[in-house]
Amino acid sequence: MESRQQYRWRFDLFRIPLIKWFVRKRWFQFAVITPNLAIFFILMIAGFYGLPVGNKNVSVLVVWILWWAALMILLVPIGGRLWCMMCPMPAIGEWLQRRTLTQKNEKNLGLGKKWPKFLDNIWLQNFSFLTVSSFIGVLTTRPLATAVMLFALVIVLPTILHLLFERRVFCRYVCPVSGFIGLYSMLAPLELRVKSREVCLKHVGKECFKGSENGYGCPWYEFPQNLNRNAYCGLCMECVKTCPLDNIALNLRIGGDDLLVEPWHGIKKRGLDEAFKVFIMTTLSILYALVFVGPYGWLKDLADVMGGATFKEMWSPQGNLLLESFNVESFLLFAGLVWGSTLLAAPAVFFAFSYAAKLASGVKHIPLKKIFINFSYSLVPLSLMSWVAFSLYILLVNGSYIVAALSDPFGWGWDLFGTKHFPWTPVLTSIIPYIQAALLIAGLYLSVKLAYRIAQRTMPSRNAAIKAAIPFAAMLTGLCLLYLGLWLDSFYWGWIAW
Amino acid sequence: MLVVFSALVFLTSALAFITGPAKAVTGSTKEFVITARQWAYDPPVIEVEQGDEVIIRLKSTDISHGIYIEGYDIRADLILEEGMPNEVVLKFVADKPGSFIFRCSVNCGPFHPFMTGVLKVNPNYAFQGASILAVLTGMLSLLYLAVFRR
Repeated sequence: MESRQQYRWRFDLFRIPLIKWFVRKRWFQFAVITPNLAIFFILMIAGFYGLPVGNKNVSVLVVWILWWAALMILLVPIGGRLWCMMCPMPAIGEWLQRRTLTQKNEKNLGLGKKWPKFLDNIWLQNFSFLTVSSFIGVLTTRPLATAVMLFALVIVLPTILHLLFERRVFCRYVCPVSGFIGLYSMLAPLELRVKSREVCLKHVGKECFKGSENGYGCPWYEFPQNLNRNAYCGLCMECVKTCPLDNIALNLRIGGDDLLVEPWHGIKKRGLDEAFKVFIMTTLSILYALVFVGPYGWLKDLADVMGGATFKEMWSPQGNLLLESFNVESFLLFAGLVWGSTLLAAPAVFFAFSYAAKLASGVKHIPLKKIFINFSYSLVPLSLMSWVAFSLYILLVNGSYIVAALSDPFGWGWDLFGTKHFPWTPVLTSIIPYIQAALLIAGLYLSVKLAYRIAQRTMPSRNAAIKAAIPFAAMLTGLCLLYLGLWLDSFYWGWIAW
Repeated sequence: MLVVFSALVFLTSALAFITGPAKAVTGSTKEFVITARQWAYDPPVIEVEQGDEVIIRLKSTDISHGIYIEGYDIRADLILEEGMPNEVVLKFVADKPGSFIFRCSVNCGPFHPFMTGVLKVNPNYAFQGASILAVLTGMLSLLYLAVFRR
């Protein structure tokens, strides 16, 4: 596979001098991060001090409609980890750690501890994403909750981690957003790779990992010479600055090969942490759709763990106290649904299909765990398309709220753009289901194709590969039918409605 | 990728085509009383046949709510104020088949943007067509890959 990768189409964007000039500047990341950091600060202020109504407050609207849709529809499918390049979340912590905004310092601030070996996986990212998802009903409807989340993710957590540990452990191991971006970035048509691995292997300096006077060693703990997947390359471009041999390329490519290979050219093994990330994202794309678009009142009641009160009502003298409003029973049930469906139910179903594939293939010497892990990646295209379908719907139906909120971001009576009274206007509602259907079926095709390619690489013979791929093709088709049922047939199954 | 993209465009056009044109009143009159509360409708799903005349009487058990039917893009707002009726009526002909989400059109609290229900107008050609295409895609693409792409 690695040798085949070299022959698939690539175009190095660094052949465009302006791009190369830009990313080689030490101020490059500062320049792309700072505008987003300013926006996130405005969103935090709006969340803390603005109107307490979610669909009138710019923090909720920009984070959960605009940013989420931009990530899922454009940035991740097209740019992979392009968002990580410009993400403001680790900025303050990293600037403190490096004691500079742009330059290269030899001495860092903080303890500079090594990240524990037993946490060298994405389980923490899985758990942080599930934690956010357990509160999703509150986060998407209460501006203060969104502001608290931003405060934690932009200021508190990254700063603590940057001062305790070396490099960017927050992005690499903890950030709830980074986990799924890494997963889906493996499909993206953009990659950072070395031009020639042989050149790297012969070169003893390894400045890309150790750092040099021109830049820092890879903040994401990646070793560019071994890089063969997008999953953990944050496109920070430090290696472009440090490589003395000009051996780094930023390629446009046909995406998807990353999902077939073991990390680091087979030096590392794919683990259950990534497989469970796939299950989490696949399952939550269904659960989110049911909560936010489905007709099930009981599910919304469960997700809305604050019992209908806004934070300001809860803290007002006439209102209930926070603990009285927080519905512990709802929270436990909803969190149970989120964690149970993603970590137990979905993997159990997938395990059954993996077992069926092993039986069908007739191959005994390949461990079931290997089949389970390898084939889990076949879900990636279809689940990404289901997120695109979900995000597109939310954007087109609720996006117009943003137009009004932007004119008065803090709820202080401003009318900056003359759109303060812009009415809620859903758009393209007649054709959204057809776009969703097309996306999902295209995702199904890509997933089945991937399942077959995985089978070819996992099984010892062509016959065994075809037989092993059949149960997964059936499972993927069933999943696609489920998604189509969600979006084109009412979200409605009588047995769950009551 | 080109094949997938072409299929995607073709599929979009095909699905829009097979849903058929809008149909004038041909069926019976179906009347529903829908009760709204924060943040659900009861019943959450109503089902009619294409061509039926639909009358929805929207009531509320708590505060002001409304109903906006996506795809039909029609709405009725129920504003609960003194002297105003505790019911609003939405009347239309279900001339487009398919499944349509309806949602609250009056800001009613934190979960307002997600207060939804469903109008099913049978037959649902779009879902049936998409399901058949999905099954064909799933099975035929594996067959194609196994036979022709060694």
